[in-house]
Amino acid sequence: MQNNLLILISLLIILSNIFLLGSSRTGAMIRGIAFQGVLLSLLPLFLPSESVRILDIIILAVLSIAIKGVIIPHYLRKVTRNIRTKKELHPYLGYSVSVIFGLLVSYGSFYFIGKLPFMYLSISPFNTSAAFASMIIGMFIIATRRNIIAQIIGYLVFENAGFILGISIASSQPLFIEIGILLDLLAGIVIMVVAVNHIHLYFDNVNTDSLERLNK
Amino acid sequence: MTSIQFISIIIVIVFFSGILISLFLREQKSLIVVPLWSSAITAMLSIFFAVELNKSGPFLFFGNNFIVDQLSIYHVFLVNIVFLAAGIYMQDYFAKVEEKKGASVFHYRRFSMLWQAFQLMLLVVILSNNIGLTWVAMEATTILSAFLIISESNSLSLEAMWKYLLVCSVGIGLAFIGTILVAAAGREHEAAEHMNTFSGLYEHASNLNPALMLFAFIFIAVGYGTKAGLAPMHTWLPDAYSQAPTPVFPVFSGVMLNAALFVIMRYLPIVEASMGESGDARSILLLLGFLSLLFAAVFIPIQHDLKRLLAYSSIEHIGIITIGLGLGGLGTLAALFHCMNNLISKILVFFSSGSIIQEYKTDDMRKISGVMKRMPVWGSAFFVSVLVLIGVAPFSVFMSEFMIVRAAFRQGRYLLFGLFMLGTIAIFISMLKYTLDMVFKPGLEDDGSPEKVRLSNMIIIIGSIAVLLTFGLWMPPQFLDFLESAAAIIETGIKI
Repeated sequence: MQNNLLILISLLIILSNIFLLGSSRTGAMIRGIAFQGVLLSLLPLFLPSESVRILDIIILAVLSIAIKGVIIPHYLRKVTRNIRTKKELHPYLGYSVSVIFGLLVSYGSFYFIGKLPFMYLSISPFNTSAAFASMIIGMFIIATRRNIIAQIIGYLVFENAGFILGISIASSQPLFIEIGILLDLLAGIVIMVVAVNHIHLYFDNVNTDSLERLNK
Repeated sequence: MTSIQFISIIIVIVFFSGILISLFLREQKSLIVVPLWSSAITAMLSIFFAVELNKSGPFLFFGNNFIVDQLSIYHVFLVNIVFLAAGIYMQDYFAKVEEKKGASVFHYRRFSMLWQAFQLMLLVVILSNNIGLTWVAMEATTILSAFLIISESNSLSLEAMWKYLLVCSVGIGLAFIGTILVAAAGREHEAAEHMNTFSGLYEHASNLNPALMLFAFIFIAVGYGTKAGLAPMHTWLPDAYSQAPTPVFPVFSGVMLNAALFVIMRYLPIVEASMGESGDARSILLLLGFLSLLFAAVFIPIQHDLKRLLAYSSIEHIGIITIGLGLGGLGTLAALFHCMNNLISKILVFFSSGSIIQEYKTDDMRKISGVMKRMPVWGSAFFVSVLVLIGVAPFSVFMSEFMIVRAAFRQGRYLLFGLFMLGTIAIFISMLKYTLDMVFKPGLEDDGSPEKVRLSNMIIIIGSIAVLLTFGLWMPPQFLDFLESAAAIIETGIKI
């Protein structure tokens, strides 16, 4: 039962990645990343229960839902409204190509993860391969989108990969470290949002094309 | 209980000066003087603790979460020295900025608060024994320093900051995955509760899964290497340097990059021991080091911007330190020695070039000439510092580079020896050409007003040249002992 739920969550994470790769509207992307954040936060609840301190897990899950599912999406929505960007025009790679790439990466990571010599450590190979797929897809979104909000969402996908991996193969960090990790993420996003506001003030748009004067 | 166990007082001082700045101070002058005093006291304390450490030996504190050994104390000392020098230079720099356009109390407070918090987090990175805490503090330095880059906000500095945030966050994210993999390797061990610390991991290193540890080390070297500015992940560095205010440079270049490398130094013996000293982890470092040297050698000759030139020089020196680590043995000792030499010469070169840029109001090297005539003191400081950086003989940078060459030669790695010589000589020639043009070519106009250099800045100039010269000619035996025991920690791991 637990195992089936873990597999279900991994599949939903991969589907949300594909959704993010295929969507052009920032509003939809923010909803997608919020959904993914809530899913991830549920993961610790399905860990095999002998190895964990139950209270810590609940605190962590609640905090994580609050930060990844509510606060960060709220911030992003606010800044999107502020700078009035709804639809992204012309990413460096088309949406259908991105979706095909995402499918290939997800399939590839399921295939290769099983062959790594230490996979017996992970609680479920599905989670670990979902994590590696998310890592690559997150970097892919950062690299191929021009819109800054989309790049932030790519970064969040990338960060989520670390979170999934941490839960599926290494669950023994003290609580204060886990909270530190979450707070670092929150602070990073807040700073990025502040930067987006500044960039909007100076350039009157938020495409990274305007940010190409320092190349040499 | 020996006096070294009060080491946390350094962290406490930095923390409470930050609190003082953020809550109580209202005057511009005191807002930049407090960071100076705080780093002056902590720099002195770190020398004291380094001496004490020889009597008491390494130990853990705050549970197992912090560690003090020769390696960490050495880096604590380096951090505090750079913050001290930057604090001294800051006084003059902000006085000039204020003359030009005036800055509000708000700006001063924001700058000093970030400054203290940044120093605090660097100290936590260095003293931490917990692999998770190290990561958290390292990520915090990225976030805190982002706003130090844009203290003068304009479109270019925003671009630099965005690039810095995104590239370093992704890099640090990769380091996070590496950290998780190391924790996973530790989890299968029966002493699992000690396995999230460096000391615990080293103690049981031979039982860790070698394939997993190598896999993890690739993530760690690339992740923390991004923060250290190793090529090919260095792309944020020249941009950030070309936009940050001068007092921030040596802190970035000398300390933040070193702190990231320091974390790699902590992981290196663990990974090597788990793989039975196969040298694979060292080869990864050698590869990254030589790539950095190569990128610097290719990009330095085509620069026109003085700050970007110095940024590539930073990449070169970080590459040299990494090569030293990759060689091992004498190379490790040389790498640690080079950390200090690089840092002191960076203090000198960044402050003198900062003053030149402030005077000429441009950082385009083609428009700067006749520096020696217009600003004899800063001009000669700049000239000497470039000579030091490119490795001219009696100075200590030459000594540490020579030690690395000797290590490569002794191990019979003639190809590496050749590549190293080729890279450093190429950089030598192109940097010397730029500098000779800037310093000695007759300038266009001279307003005739004599150069004013504050006494405190004179002390920085003379002090750093004296240190570089002394350590180049003669290594004090106590210092050599200390350095050797620090190098032994990288070679054979932590023993408590």
